[in-house]
Amino acid sequence: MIPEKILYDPGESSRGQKVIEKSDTLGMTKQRVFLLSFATVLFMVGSFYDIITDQEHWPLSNYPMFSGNKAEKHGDGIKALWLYGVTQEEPHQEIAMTSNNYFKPVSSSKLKKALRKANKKRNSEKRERALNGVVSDSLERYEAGRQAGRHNGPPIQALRLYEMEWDIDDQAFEARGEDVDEPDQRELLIEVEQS
Amino acid sequence: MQALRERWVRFWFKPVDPLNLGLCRVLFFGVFFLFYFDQSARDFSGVSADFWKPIWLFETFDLPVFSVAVLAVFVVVWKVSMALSCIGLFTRVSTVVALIFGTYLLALPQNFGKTGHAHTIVVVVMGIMALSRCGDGFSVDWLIRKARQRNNTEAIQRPLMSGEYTWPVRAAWLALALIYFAAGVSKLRHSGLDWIFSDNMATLLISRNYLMNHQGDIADWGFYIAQYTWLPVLMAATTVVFEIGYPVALFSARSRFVIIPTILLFHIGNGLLVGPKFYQYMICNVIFWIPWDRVSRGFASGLRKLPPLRKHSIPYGKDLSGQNSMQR
Repeated sequence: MIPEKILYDPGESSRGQKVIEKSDTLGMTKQRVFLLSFATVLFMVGSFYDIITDQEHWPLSNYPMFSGNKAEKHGDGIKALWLYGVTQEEPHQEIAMTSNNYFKPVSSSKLKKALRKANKKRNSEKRERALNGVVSDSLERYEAGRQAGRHNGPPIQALRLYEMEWDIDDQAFEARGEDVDEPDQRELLIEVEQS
Repeated sequence: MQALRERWVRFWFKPVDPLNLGLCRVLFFGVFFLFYFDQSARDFSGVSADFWKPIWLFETFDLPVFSVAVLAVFVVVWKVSMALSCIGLFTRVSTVVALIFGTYLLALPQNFGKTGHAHTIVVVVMGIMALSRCGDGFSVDWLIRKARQRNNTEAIQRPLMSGEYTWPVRAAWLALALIYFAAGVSKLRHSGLDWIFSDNMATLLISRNYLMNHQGDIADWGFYIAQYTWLPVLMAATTVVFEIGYPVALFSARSRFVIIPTILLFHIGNGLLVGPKFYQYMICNVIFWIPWDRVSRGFASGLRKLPPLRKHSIPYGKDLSGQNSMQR
C-alpha cells in the first residue's frame, strides 16, 4: 500500500514543499519518476537486445559462458593447450605452468583463450608469429614476476607450448583424473627461450 | 493502461524509508572495496598486443590503455571514491566518481584474451547507486545534514519516505534477473535441450578436472557425479530452470525463498566442481535480496529485550568471595 501522505521532517523549506506538490504521494517529482522509468526501460531494452541478437555490449551481455555442449565439443577426447617451463637447473625438467600468479595480471583462463585464438589462425606463418608473441610475453611476465617476488616458481630457461589430448572412456571415471599430468597425446607447438 | 502504470509505479517507487538502501550502499561499496583491494588493472598497461581483443566499450568510445602511472592514479581515485561511497560522505559525487573510474578499471582487463562476465553486475549496480539518493540514509552526509538542521531550520529537508529508496534495490534485482535469464537462454540457444539431456554436464565435470586440476582449486567430485547418468542431467536441468525462472523472484515474494538460496548453492557447486566462483553475483544476491532494514531493526529490538547489564554488574573492587551463589 502506498501511504496517502508522505511524512517529511519538520521545518521544510520552500523547495521541500514544491517536491510534495509535484510528486503527490511518492516523495519524488514527476520528472524524476519519468526519467528513472525511462532509464529502466532503456536498460531492459539493451539487455533484451543482447539476449535476442546473441551479442555482447559489455557490461550488457548475452552471458554465453558454458553455453556450448561440452559432449559435442570434446567427443571422446579432451584437448587443451598448456605451457610448460624448462628449469634452468640441471637436469632440465619440464614443469606445468599451473599457478594463476605466474603470468599476472594475465590469468590462466585469459592465457588459454589467447593461445587458442592464436592457434586458430589458418595461415601457418601468422599462427606461429601469434603463438610466439603470446608465449614470449608470458615468459617475460613470468621472469619479471619471479624477480619481483610475486610468485615462487623456479627460474626457467624456456617455455614450451604443447597441445595435449586425453582420451575419455569409461575407465576415465575409474581413473578419477589420476592421469591429468600424463595425456594420451602431446604435441609440441612452439618453444621460446630466454634471450 | 492505467492499471499497468499503477503497477509499474507501485513496483518501482513505493515509498519507503532510506535505511534499507543506505545499508545496501554500505555493504555494496564496503564489500567490493575489500574485494577489489588488490585490483591489478594497472599491470595490464604492459601486456602484449597479442592478447588485445577490444570489447565494445573500448572500441566504440576509442578508449586508450593508459600508462602504468596514470592507471595507478585511477586505482587510488576509485578506491577512495568507493570508501567515501561506503561511509556515505559526499555520496552524490563519490558514487559518480566510483562509477566512472570503476567502469574503466573493471572493463580494461576484459580487452585482453578473454571477456569476463563476473564484474558486469558491479558496474551496473555502481551505475544504479550513482543515479540514486543512496546517501540519504545511514551515511555521514545524513549525520551532517542532521547537525545542520539543528542549527538552521531553513535547511533543505529530505522526505522520510520516498520512492527514491525503493527503485535502486529493485533495479539491482532486475539486473540480476536479466543476467541469470540471459545465461539460461544462451544455454538453450547454443545447445538446445541437449545442454540438459546429453552428456554435456558429465563431460563438463570431467573435463574441468583435466583442464584445471593443475591449479588445485576444484574438487575431483566431478568424476564421481559423472558416473551416475541421472545426476548430471538433474544438475543441468536445475541450472537452466532456475536461471530462466529467476525473474519470477521479482514478483513473487514466496518464490524468492526458493530461487535465491538455490542460485547461491548453484554458485557454490559451480565453484567447487567447475571452477569459476562468480563471487560478485553471490555478494550482490545477498546484499540486495536480504531486507537489511528489517534485519537491523530485529537485531536492535533483540538487543533491547536483553536484560540491562547494569543490574547484574558487580561493582568494581567488591569482594564477593564470602557470599553464596543465591546472594549473587
